[in-house]
Amino acid sequence: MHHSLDLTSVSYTYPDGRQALHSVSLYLAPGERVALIGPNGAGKSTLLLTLNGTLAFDGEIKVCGLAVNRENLPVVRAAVGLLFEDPDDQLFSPTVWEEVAFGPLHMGWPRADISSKVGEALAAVGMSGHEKRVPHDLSQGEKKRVAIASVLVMDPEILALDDPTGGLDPRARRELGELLTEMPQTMLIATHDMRLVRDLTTRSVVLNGGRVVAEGLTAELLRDRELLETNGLEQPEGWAD
Amino acid sequence: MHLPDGFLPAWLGALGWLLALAGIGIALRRSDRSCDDRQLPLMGVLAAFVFAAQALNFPIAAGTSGHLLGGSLLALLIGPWAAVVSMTAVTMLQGLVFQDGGLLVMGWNILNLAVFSCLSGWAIAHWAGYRSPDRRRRLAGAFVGAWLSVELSAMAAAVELAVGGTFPLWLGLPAMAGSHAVIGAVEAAITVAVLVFLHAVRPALVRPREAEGRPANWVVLGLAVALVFASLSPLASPLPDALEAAALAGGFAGRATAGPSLGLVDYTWPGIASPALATLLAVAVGTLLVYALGTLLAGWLGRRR
Amino acid sequence: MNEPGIDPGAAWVATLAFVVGVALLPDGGWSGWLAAYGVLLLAALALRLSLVRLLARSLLALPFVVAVAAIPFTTPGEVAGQLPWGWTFSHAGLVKAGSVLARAWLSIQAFVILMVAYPLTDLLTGLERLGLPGLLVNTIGFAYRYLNLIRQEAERMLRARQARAAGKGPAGGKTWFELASTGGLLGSLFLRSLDRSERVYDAMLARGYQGNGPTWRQLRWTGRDLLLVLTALGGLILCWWQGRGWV
Repeated sequence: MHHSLDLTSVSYTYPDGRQALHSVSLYLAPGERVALIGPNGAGKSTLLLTLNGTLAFDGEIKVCGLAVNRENLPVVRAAVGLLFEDPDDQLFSPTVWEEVAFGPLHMGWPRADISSKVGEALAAVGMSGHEKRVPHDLSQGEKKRVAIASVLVMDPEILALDDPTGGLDPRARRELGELLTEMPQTMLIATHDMRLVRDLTTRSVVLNGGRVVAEGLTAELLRDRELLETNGLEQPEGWAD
Repeated sequence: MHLPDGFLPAWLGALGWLLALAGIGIALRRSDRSCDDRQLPLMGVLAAFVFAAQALNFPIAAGTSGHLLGGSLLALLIGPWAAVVSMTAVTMLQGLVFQDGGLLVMGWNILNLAVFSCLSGWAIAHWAGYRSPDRRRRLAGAFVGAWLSVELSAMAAAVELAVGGTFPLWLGLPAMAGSHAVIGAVEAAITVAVLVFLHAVRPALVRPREAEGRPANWVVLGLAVALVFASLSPLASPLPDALEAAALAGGFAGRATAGPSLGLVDYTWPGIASPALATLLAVAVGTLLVYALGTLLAGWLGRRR
Repeated sequence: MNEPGIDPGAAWVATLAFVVGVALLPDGGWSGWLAAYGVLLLAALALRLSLVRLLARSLLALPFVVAVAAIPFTTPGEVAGQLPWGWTFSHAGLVKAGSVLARAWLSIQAFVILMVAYPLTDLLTGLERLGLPGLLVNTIGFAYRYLNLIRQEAERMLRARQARAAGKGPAGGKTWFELASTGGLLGSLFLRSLDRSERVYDAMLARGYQGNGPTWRQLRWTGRDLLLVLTALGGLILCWWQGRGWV
């Protein structure tokens, strides 16, 4: 039950009437790392936003066995760490320290604990010593890492990552990929980065037009060139049959 | 329009802070009602938007460019009270980070640039036609509201300077009103241009909001504030102004003739003995006239096709 | 930047007392202002701040000098001289102009010291501890955070627009073409900012935000802070006595 993610027939319609998700069902076992791939506009980001109750969806989502509904929101939001596509949306505090401390402060943790937890989280992403820095001065890679730290500090069971390597140069991508590999949490990663998918994930789900069109082991899915291209994706090097 | 320290005496600066804090308190409570939970990031990020907009030079027409102050535009888009909070943040940041505007006089800067501009811009725009279903009348209302909000803020600054004894009203008021006439026109033009764009792209934003109460109340409120100003005028220096001083010194006193000034020579009212009361009445009437002209103009423009 | 070791709230009170004191000194109180500048120099030295840097920053804020130039011509009093075209200026006016300049400059310097000695977030927290509403303080914090980002977005959009403009002026003789494109530019910037504020709100919700901004720094005044504040208030009273009255 713990650290698992269970979606059953999840649908979502935008206020303007457009349906973004059509009855999506998905299960992530504890510790699993699953890629969510598909073309732009497929609904990947939308799906991630339903996981912590930001969007009001139809259907059922169980985070670590707990249903995502209005009453459970505080617990769910601590259990699901959501990494946004644009780190500038996520780093809204004046300094790195305040950013990482934001979650614990709002969760009402005792102040004595907060400092040490913040230090641990920053160390985990390799950003110790950067506490006083201003988000605007950080590089894109550093921003992503601080964003991850700000999520990690809450001890989430599940990580939902929206395009974690987007906009990063090759070195930052590699470093972030290595960082993610070392983290034990259950992960759902929406991404275009096929190399990340190959290196990090065991299973992949292809989303297109708000529907799950394919699901399976990453290794098998990535070999199916036709499937990838039909869904606006690219086969990474070295996977052609 | 940011007043630096030194231009107003300490007691006036303190009064400005008291009034500003009262205004901010009211604005915070009222914006709570209309914006709900998301007001904090909304007002903060939009304050950054206004800051950026104020800092840049935008092309207007035929090679000219100008600046946007943004108070009335913001008020029309997110409601007057949330706009007051955002603009207060902008003004305080400008003072803190760029020393644009003093610390002691910051209360008055906040009042001029945030409170008066947003409230008067919003109220006059609504008075002048922003509530109308006809798009052109709405834009005309916004135009008038933006222009007059700039003028009123500038004139308020002139009154503050006069009450503080730094610049006499006969110099400050026309100087501020005159110089800000062009700035007001630019503000009005840009405001309308933005509203036209937003109407095409996201019309829901530009639709008049019902939740903020009738503009008549705010026009009255503004009037009351102007009268408070007027009532402070007896405290302005009773010494003869520089023109007379120069005239006396240069021996021209005898040659001065009273120009046409609606019978209010020397800010006195003929037939009233007490100079303080007379000054009070004269400035009060002057303020009322300006305000009445402003609202009449707004109403007239609103009624035109 | 060295940690000043003084609570920002206490620093605020001291700065405000300084500014008010300087304002209370009467016109022509040159010795008093000189002493005040001495106090500032001491503060700058105590905080180990570069004097050159302070001076440079305060000079940036002096364009208002132009306005001060009008004061001698509009202040009544004994005539000191006359310009070729007949305008006269008075002794009292010169003294007053100099006084306004002195007060303004001293205030700016004090402000600059405060801004250089403390990061803005500390200053905002200090203000909050002194009683400024938390919502306002946090709004300023957000504005500060997104300032540069939005300004950069605006600059990019302006540059993109300039790159497409023919350079010769609006096409077809429509004088409102440029205005319309400015409206579009600012309107787009507004929408982007609005949308960003929505996403920021979602990000805040995702980390447990429930409607009130965080107040995390617990600042308490030490003996040193109290000493500074009392000294500042003492100086203020001295200035008031010197000025002999509140007006």
